[in-house]
Amino acid sequence: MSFDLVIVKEDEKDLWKEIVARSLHTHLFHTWEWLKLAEKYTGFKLYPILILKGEEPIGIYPVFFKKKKIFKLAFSPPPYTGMSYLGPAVVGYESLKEIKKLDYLHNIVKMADNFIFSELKVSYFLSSLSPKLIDVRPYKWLGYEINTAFHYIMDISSADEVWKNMKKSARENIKKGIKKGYSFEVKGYEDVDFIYQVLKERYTAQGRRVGMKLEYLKNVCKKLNNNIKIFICKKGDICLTGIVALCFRNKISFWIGGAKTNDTYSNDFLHWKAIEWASKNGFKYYEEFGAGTERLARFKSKFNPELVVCFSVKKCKPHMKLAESIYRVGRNYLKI
Amino acid sequence: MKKARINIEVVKNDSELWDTAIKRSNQGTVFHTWKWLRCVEKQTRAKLYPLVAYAGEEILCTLPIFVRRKGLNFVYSPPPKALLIYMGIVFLKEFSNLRKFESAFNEFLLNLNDFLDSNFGSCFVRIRSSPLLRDIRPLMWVGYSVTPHYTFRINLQNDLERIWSGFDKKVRNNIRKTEKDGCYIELGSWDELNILREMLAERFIAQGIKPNKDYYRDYLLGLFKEFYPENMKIFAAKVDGETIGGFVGLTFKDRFLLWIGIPRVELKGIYPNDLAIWEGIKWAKEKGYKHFEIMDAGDDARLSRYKSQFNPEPEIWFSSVKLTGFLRILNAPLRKILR
Repeated sequence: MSFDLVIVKEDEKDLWKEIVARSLHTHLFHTWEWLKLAEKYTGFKLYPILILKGEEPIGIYPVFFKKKKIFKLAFSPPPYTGMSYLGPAVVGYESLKEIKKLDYLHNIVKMADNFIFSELKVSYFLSSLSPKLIDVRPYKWLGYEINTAFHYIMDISSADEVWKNMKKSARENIKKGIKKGYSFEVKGYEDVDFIYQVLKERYTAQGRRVGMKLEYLKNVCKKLNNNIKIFICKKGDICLTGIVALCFRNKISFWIGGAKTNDTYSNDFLHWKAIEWASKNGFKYYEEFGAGTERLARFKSKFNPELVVCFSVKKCKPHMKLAESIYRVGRNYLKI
Repeated sequence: MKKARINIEVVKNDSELWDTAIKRSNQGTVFHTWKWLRCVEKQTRAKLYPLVAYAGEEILCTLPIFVRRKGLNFVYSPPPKALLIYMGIVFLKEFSNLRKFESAFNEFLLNLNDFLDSNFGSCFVRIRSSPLLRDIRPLMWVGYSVTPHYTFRINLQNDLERIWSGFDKKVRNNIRKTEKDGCYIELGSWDELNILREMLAERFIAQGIKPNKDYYRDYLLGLFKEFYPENMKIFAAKVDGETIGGFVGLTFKDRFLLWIGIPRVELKGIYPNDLAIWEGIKWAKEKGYKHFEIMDAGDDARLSRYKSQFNPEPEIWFSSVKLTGFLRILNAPLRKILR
C-alpha cells in the first residue's frame, strides 16, 4: 500500500486533534490551537503534514516555513515559541511491532523530508523530537545531523517519596520558605505577566533578551487555559517567583519561569508546592525541560529526577552551514 | 563530605583484579574481559592500556583503551577492525542518585584528560560506550561530541509464545518452511565458525568490498580458543550436514549476544538465518538468559530492517569523540566528520 502526504486544512482540524490524542509522541505543543498561535506570532507558515497509508492516517509532522531574504528555512518547532519539542508523531506507535514502527516512521520522515527539500525547496531544516521518539535511524539514513539533548522526568505518584529522595539542601530550603511564611497560589492566565517580567529582568541582567513575545505567551495561556497552570510563590502580598506549567495527559511539565531570585528558598519552595499540587491532582509525572547544560542540570536534579534522552535533527545545504557558523560566532562572541 | 581523590592506574598483568571488576559491574561485557582485550590487542596491533580508576581505596570504574601511534596518537575503546561496536567505561560503584554519579564521572574524565595528556600528548580519542551506560552527559561536558547508535534487544523474560507471535508473519512462515525443507540448527565448533567467516568474506567480495587478508581468521581462532565453549556458541544452520548459515553467539552474565554471522544466503525459499535466530532465542531462554541482543541496528537500513522482523527493541549506545592537546582547535570544524 502506498504512502501519501497531505496538508491538513483548517476545516479538517478535528482529524488532527484525533491523531494528537492517539499518539504517544505528542505534547500540548502539537495541538492545533498552539500550532496556529505559533504561526500567527512567528510569521512562519504552518504546514500541518499528515501521512496516510492508503486511506489510513499513520502520522503527523507539523512544519513551519519562512523565507528570510535569500534563505528558505523550516523548523519543527519554530524558534522563540518556547515549544521544547515538536517533530513527528506516529499513531498508535507503542502497539506496533518493531518492523512496522520502523516502516511507518521511516516513511513519515522520508515524505516530510521530500516535501521540505523538494517542494518548499528549503535550505535549512531543524527539528527537535519528542523524548518518546528515540529511534532517529530514519534521519541518519537521510543524511541528517543528530544532536543529543536531555530532559528530566520524575514519578510524582507519591509526593512523600519525592520529599524523601530530594537533596537535603532543597528540603531545608523548602522548610525555611515555610518558616518565612511563603505562600503558594494557583492562578489564572492573567498572572502570566508577572512571570514574564521576572524572566525579562533576569535575562536583561545576563545581557540576553527574551525571544518570546508577551502577547504570544498570554494568548497561549488564555487559549489553552484548561491545560495550563500558573503557580506563584508569595510573601504577604508580594509575588516572589512563579512558573507556568503545562498539563497534558498524566504529565505536568514545568515550562517557563522560576528565574533566579534574590532569596535562596522561593524557587525550591515553589517547585515543591507545584509537585505536591500535581501529585494531589492525579498527575503521575513531572517533567523538566533541558537537562543537558551542566550548571542547569545540576540545579534541576535536586529533586532526584530520572534522565530522559532526546534528539534534535538538522539538515542543511552547504551555504547554510556557513551562514549558521557566522550566526553562532556573532551571537556568542559579538553579541549581535 | 569531602570527595575522594581519583587516581588512574594501568593494570599490568593482574587479570584476576580486572576480570573480578568486570564481572562485578552490571555494565561489564564479554568484550571487556582480560582475554578478549588481549586478543584485540594482538589483532589490531594497538597497545592495550587497561585503566582502573580508584576513588580512595575503592575501584570507581575501568576503561580499556587501545593506543595506536601513526604520526598522531589514536586512543580507542574499542579500536577499529576488531569486529566490535562498543566497549568503553564500566562503573563498579553504584550511585544512589544521578548527581553523585555525574560528579564522580566528571571527576574521572578530568583525570583521564590528564592521564592522556601526560602519556600521549595531543591525540584523537574515541570511546564507544555500551548501552548499559545511559548518562553520557559528563562526556559532553568535557568536550566530547557524541553520536547515538543502536543495537537490538529482545526481552527473554517474556514467554516464548509472546516472543514468537511478535515476529513478523513473514519470518514465522520462513522459519516453518525452512524447517520443513530439512534445514536444522546444530551447536557447531571451529569448522562451522570458519565457514561462517568465509561466507561473510565472500559477501563483502560480492558487494565489491575487499575484506582484509584472511578476514579475521587468526583473531577469531584466538577468541575461539579462549571463549569456546563456555562463552561462545556457534549456531550453525545445516542441510544434509552442510553449513549454510548461522551466527556466533556470546554469553556473559544475563545477556546472550548475537555477535557476528547471519551472512546473506542466496537460496530460494530457504531461510537458515531466520531459523538460527529463533533457535538461538529458544536456547538462550531455556538457559536462563534475560536478554537476547542482536548486535548493531545501525547505519545499514537493509540489515536493520531484516533484524527488526524479530521484533526487538532498539537500544541506544553512544560514540564519543574528541581531539586533545593542540589538536583541540580542530574539534569544532571537524566535529561532524570525527564521530
